[in-house]
Amino acid sequence: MINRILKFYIVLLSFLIILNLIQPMLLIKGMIIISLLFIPILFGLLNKRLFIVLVKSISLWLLSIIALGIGFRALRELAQQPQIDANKIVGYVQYFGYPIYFDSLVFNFIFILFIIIILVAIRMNLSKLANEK
Amino acid sequence: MKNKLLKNKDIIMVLIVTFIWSLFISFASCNIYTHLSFDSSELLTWDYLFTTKLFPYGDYYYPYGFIYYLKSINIIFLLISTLIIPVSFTVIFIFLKKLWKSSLFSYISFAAYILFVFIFTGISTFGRYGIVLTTALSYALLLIKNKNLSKKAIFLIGIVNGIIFIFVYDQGLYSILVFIISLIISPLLRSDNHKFKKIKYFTSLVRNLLIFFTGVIIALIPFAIYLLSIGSLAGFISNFSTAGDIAKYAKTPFFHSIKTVDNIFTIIVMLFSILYITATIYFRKHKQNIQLFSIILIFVILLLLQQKNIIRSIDTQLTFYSFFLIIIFISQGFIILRKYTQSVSILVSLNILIYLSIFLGIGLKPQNNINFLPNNFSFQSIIYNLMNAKGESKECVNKNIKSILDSNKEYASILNILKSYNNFNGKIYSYPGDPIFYLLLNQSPPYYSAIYQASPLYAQVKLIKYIQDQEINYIVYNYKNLAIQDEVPNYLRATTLHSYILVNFSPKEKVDNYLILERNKKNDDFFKNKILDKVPVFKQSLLQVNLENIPKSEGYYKEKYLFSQGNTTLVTKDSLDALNSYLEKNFITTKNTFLVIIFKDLKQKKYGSITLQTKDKLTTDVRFVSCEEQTSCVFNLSRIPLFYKSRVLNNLSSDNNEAITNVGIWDVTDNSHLW
Repeated sequence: MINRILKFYIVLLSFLIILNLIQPMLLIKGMIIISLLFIPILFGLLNKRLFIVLVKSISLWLLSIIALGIGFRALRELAQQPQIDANKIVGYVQYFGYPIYFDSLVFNFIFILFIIIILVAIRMNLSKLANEK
Repeated sequence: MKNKLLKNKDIIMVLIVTFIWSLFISFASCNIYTHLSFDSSELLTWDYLFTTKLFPYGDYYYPYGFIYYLKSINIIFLLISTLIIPVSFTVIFIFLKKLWKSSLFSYISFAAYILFVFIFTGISTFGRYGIVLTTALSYALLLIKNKNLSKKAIFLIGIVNGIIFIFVYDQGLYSILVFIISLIISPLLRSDNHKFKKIKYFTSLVRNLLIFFTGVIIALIPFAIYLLSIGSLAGFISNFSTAGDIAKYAKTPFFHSIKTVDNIFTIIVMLFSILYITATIYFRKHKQNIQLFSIILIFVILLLLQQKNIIRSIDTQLTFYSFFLIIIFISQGFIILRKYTQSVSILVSLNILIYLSIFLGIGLKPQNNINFLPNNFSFQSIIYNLMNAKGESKECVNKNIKSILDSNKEYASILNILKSYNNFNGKIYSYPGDPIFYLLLNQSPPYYSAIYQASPLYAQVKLIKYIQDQEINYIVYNYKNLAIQDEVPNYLRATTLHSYILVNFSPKEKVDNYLILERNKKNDDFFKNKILDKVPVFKQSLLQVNLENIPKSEGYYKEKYLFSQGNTTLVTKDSLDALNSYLEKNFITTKNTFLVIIFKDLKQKKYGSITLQTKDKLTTDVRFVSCEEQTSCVFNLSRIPLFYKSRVLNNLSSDNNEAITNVGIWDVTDNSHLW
């Protein structure tokens, strides 16, 4: 069964690559990306319980990111605006009033949030996952 | 011995082939800059400076580490730098062999990796950023093979890291951090929770770190002596200690630029790494495996480099780490697939197709110039450069100068005009930063070749000192370049320097995009010079000033400093009309003068503006982001171009007169805290 799926997948991917070489198009590139994403999905399906936990984690994380994206401007307004220091540096952040470490905080938070969500999801499903194993 | 060599013949072959390739690049590469952008001007200036008797850090600003300088003056260092690429690729190849445990798949993934670096990263970028990937993979290989590294091995690793720090110091710092993390996580991944002995772990960690840093310091001692001998030690330390200032003037918004394919690619791979690491740590019994260890280390490197990327985009330089992580993930996937299919042809086809899909399908940005060998490669140049025991840096700079002069006729015109002046002593200062003029005049450039790096006050002071010490009588002012970077007007980025120039120099001639400024012989007024009328857009840019957020942040954070000892309020009124009546009767100059305005009800208007007129009928408009209600808006008049030269205030008006509740003029003698 797996052999058949893989052969079909190889033919499909080859076809898309050749098509992309002949006529590079956004649609074909999109199809290649979707085909590439199929691989982790295939592996996920080999352990369904773990796969469901991961899908839930990723969905929850994506929802958090969307919420963060919506509130980004408001949060940025709340963040401490930069001031010109004793060295009188006027760069982008001082000139436009962009909070200098805000991006770093948000970016690192996004990763930490992902780790927390996965850990919580695994913890909550630990017994089921162990049984599946 | 012979058997061992035969067994590892593929590794030796990789080392030899990549070394020859690297040798070709090192000895026969001359990058001809077709367009003089800010970056290419800087690179060309450094190429030029390496051929002079000046030293990096001591005589000029250089942020990349010593190897690029040393390789241009000494053949031994040129050979050492030539070794970086082959050593990196060889370590990667050894790692892939260990990872795949199959020659065929390790060859395929190695070929794919070389192609990726070649097409998307660029070999010179890899030569720098690849160093820390190489050290991380070496740590992974070492720590997996030897559960407990000997003291001697740790000491040697310290020495190597010290040397990397000397040569390419940011990579050295990352490499040191990655080794520390390796020492921390290696026993944790190896240990069984029940048998883990905390005290032994911590004592061993502290001991290993001490040995490691002893090695680092010992490697640094000869370097410190060398720096001292060339007079660059203080400059190097100062450069290192003020590196934090780069973030302050270089930071631009990150999330605006996150949408590039390269960034998205890296972030998705990082997220996938988190999934892998977390799941593996949770469910695997044997965590001490080379895949997990290397994924953690590469993830840490990416996280460190992302902090730099957040400050200033380096997205295309990061993708080769992500691609390496993908190779590791694929190898893991194939271990699972082998349980379901034994067909080598299916697995090989799948492997190749995945790499091809990444190359062709996802839209990563390839390099502009993809050439396996340098454009003007020739065996004669390699032989010539080897015979002359150097790279072709001097010839390369000369080729560039010739090419630039051929394609930019205005440079030659400016040089001819300058040479026709009696006062011209062969030296100029280029504002805001066209260092090509120093090369054309064979002149030692200032410490900072452009005002971008000279954004801090101490750097501007250094540039003013250069103009004074070199007795420069002419400034070549690029009046079309109004913001050297990031839309920040040059007159705000380097106000102290700009003020010095406009007070002491006046326009003499306009040539193409440049004004030639001559040192004032008497008390000339820049704004009354007739040549300014030939460049109306430039004149307007100096008289219609946009201070954007500065008055607001100065008022919000620093109003308290107005009340410092020595500062005095000259006048305070509740409207501009009242203030104008006062100005009519009194003589208020703009020197050390701060204007403080409090507005009410400005929520609807994002921007406010005021117009200031002087007794000699000159006018300047100042635009600014509306300040918080009932909070001071603070304007340092001395930093507005028209008032670099002290003038007498005559009249003030605003587009929002009725919203002003208080307006005051301060004489500020202590300006250490305020802008």
